[in-house]
Amino acid sequence: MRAFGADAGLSEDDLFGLDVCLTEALTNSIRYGGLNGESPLTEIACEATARLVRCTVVDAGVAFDPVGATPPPLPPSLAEAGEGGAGIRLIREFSDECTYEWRDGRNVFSFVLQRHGTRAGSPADWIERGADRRVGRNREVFPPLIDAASPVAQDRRSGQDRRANGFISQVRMFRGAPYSAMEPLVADCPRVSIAAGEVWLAPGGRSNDVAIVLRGRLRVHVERPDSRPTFLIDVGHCAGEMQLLDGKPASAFVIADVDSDLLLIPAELLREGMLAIPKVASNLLAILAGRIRRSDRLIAEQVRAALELERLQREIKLAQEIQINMLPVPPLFPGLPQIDCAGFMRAATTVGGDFYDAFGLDAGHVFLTIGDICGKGLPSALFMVRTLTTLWNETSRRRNPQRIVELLNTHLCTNNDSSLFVSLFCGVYDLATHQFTFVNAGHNAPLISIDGEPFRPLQGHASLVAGVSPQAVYRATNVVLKPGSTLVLYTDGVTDAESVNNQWFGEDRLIQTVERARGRSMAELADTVLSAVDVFAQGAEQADDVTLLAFRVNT
Amino acid sequence: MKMTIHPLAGDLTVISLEGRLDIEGAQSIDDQFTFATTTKQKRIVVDLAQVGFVASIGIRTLLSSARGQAARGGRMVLARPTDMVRKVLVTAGVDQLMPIFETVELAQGALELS
Repeated sequence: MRAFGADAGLSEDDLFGLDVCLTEALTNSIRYGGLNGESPLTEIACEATARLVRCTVVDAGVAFDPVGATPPPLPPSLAEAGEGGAGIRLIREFSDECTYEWRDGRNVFSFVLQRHGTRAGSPADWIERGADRRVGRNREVFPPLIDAASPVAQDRRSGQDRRANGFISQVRMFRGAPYSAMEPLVADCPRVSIAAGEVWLAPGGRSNDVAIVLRGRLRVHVERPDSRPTFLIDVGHCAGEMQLLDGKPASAFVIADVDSDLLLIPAELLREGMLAIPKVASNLLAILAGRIRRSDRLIAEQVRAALELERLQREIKLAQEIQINMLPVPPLFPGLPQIDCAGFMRAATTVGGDFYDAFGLDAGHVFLTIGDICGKGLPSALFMVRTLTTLWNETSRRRNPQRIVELLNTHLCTNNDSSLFVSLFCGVYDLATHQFTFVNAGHNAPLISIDGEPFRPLQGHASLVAGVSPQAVYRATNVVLKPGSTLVLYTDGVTDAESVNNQWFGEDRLIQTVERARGRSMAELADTVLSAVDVFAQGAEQADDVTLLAFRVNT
Repeated sequence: MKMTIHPLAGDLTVISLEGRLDIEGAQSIDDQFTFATTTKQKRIVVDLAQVGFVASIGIRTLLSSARGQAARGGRMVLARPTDMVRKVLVTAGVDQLMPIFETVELAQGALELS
């Protein structure tokens, strides 16, 4: 953009205004348009004339009208300052005019900036792009006469034909070539109309013509016709020239992006008639050079994308390391013979943010917790670190689970710009009274078996997940875990494990599995569940972390 | 985007930013800027003299840090924006939420009184 500004001789202030408008327009495109994280941007065009700069941003995202949208009111205080709204306000302030149109399934947003003076050394004789060169310079040679032998051919054409050939000045390949030489050459070239979506050329196919877009737009897909277009071919530009020159079949899909008119130049005419005109030959070379540069750029982009992927993978690995390092080291409670406790967490390929922990609060109380951060990647790993450190911090001072979760929630709600939250179950077990006091903050109910009874979900007050609302109310529930009782805490990665034929593991299957492990140690129970999940999934990819914490009061 | 922290006497800190506070610039300093501005109670002057450009995303970074610092009981103000950057800040209403000063000294003076 800086280069564009320098070329156009824009003043610093005009360039700044253009920078603001373009940045905000692109931010909007990317923010509102992005589906599946893909950038929906298809086109950015800028042009400058002596008096104004006009830019158009086209994206194929969700319809969003920044012109009609009302910007949110200015925030009354810092505490209420929201995230958005400034972009629209900025575009309106810095541009002199903006228009929006929903055209052919695309957002077309244009804005105009009046220029306020030019920088020294700018081209004084600035020519508007697309101006018809024929006026003045070439008028005297019309009707065109190439040589004495061909006037008859020229005279055949009606005035309508001549007007119909007015596009010549817009064709990139003909730029600068004498109009009089071009007109007879294109006069007899066929024109075709193709409907939006129609394929003009497919890989391996051959065309005997070069197509010049007279109206509409073509799009080129290098990989598949349903992939994102690699580039677009606009009015005045051509397609199919490569294969005519090297004689090899086409290498990409060329599809009409909208209803389009094409001028077809037959191969022989191109080779023998047009390339004989020096200006056309040099234009064609320039076009080919442009194509080569573009493919170089595409390669560079692919390399960049690959590097980005590598960076993401490193990030995921780092997040997994953080996650695993936060878990307790087995055996759990080795000094308490009256308790058997074991847990496992197996991270999914794309980190789900599960955790569990079990530790003693004092000589008479132990603390158990399991949770699941909503979100993936480094942010959720860091959120997990916040959650666990807060829990460690609060449990060092108090042993009332209700108060612990309340404080955790308040802490997580503060400065939680990333809007992550955690579903969590935690409880304190009193070794002397066998009272287990627990809080369930949006987590799935653990399974409980009291004194050898069948396993069932542990019922209790259900509360909101932590980190969402500072006003959330948490209530504790009590249950007596007499010796011989077992508690199985788990995350939804266990019950939501999916088989290759898209069935879920489910709570019933989990209950059957833990019943089967009755009488075994908690470590064996955990292993039994993990292998049951693996057998069930039959190698289907593990989508979420699978985490379980089993706790038994020995008789 | 470059960021330099100059701790002064007491809890007074001047943070100088240098470069473009656009999508890329905001991302490049986001973590360290948030860390520097919101972890402790401080009185902070953000010196914008070397910032050539601010986009809405950069405004978000400034506002969320100011909000974070206010929640800690401290304060964050801006100093020395260029004319065009000031126009962006005023358009977005930032001047209503965070005072903007002509010089770093004026900003410090105002913070010392607060």
